[in-house]
Amino acid sequence: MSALTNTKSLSRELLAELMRLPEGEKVKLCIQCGTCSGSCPTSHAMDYTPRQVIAALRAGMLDKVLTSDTVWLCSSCYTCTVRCPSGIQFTDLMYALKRLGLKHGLVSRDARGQMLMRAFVEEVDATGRNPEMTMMAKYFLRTNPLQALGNLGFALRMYRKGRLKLGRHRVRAREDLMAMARVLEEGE
Amino acid sequence: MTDYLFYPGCALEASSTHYAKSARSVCQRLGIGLVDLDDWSCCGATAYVGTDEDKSVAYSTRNLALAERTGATQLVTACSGCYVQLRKANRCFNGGPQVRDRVSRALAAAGLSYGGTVRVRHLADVLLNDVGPDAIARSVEVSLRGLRVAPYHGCQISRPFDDIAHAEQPTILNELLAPTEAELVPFPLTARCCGGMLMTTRVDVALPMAGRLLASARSAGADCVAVACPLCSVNLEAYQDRILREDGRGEPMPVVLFTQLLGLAVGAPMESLGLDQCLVDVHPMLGAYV
Repeated sequence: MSALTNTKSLSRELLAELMRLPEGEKVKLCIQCGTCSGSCPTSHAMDYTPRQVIAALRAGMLDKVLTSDTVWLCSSCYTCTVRCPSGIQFTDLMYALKRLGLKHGLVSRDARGQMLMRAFVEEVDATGRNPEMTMMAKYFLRTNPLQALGNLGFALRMYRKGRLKLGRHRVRAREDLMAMARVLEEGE
Repeated sequence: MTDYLFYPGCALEASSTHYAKSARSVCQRLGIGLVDLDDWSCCGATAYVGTDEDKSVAYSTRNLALAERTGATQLVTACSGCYVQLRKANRCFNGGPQVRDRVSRALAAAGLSYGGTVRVRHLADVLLNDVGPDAIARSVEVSLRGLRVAPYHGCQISRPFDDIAHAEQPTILNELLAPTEAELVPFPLTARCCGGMLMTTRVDVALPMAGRLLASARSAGADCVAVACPLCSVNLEAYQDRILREDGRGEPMPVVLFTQLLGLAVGAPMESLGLDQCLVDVHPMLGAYV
């Protein structure tokens, strides 16, 4: 498979995923007006703005988007989604792109978003909930141990305020959650 | 006393225990009982959706299935993030056979089934539309007259769903706090993003976002910002030292949960409101009211 076919297949895969999601088919109605980019509170920091992301989807250039600083800068504020004149669920499209990158091992230029997500998912898979403290500890130790040290003061402050829980509460039915995960993994 | 089934969510058990406490307390004063959903699990939050859509929806739906099994028709949450995630799970589940069948098979492995009937509601919606501003006004024991509050809605209480509050100009917190007689200052950035999880991964991008909100509230003359989301609460409070240092001006701005102000007004016991847990000292501002 040539490199070009390969990147086109990313577009096909994203479209197939969007078709499964509520109102996902609306992506085809994009008129490239840029309301999404103009509304986005973080597009100024993205390598490709939301409007350009859809242009890249059409041009078969999603590999460029996925290896740049773009999708992990979405803060899920949903402003693009509520303003899009075509009704495109753009925030959901960003989530789908995050999954697509992870699946194909395409790491964005700044990998911290992916690292935080990994720590989050590991904790939820292990306990059934997000024990904030261990998730953050994992994330900082993996990305910037020095900053982890710097955050100890903040952690202590939160602890004193009764806003930091030590230890992890485990959902009683986490066997059930694991059984659910197995069914979904088999079905892939 | 009307009981509602309650989904606390992870943040209300860790970084925002004062939100959980004050929510329960204010509800009790207003004749509402919040009964925790037994053995609830992660809502499948933002971070999980970016990894695995079906697992996220399935984990989320597990909570809805547990709720349905109790006979409840509604599930109430105070966290705007959980609120959107649980509602989106309903939308995906009821949106088409592809997701529904897959998620149903996963639920079956846990001995559960879901009929798609549980309505997910934000606590603010329950307080405004079930209890109502008149009943809240009748319960007010301490007028907050003179206190200038910037009600900050953030994103997910009104987006993407755009029904309990307007997506661009939400007013649900204003309507809830009006009966307290506090002065609600004009706050044009009330629905702008606080930075969300980017405060952890991309502080260079998120810090100015939170900074602009605080500066806007300050220039509107607010004594404090009132929020309805645990992440907004942490983002606006925890990074103020740094924001003030970089701005080089301004005084620290107290950040409270709307349930803390409401609780204060309806005479909930002080110790149940967790006011000492706010990172910026609220006592100078609230001295006249406590």
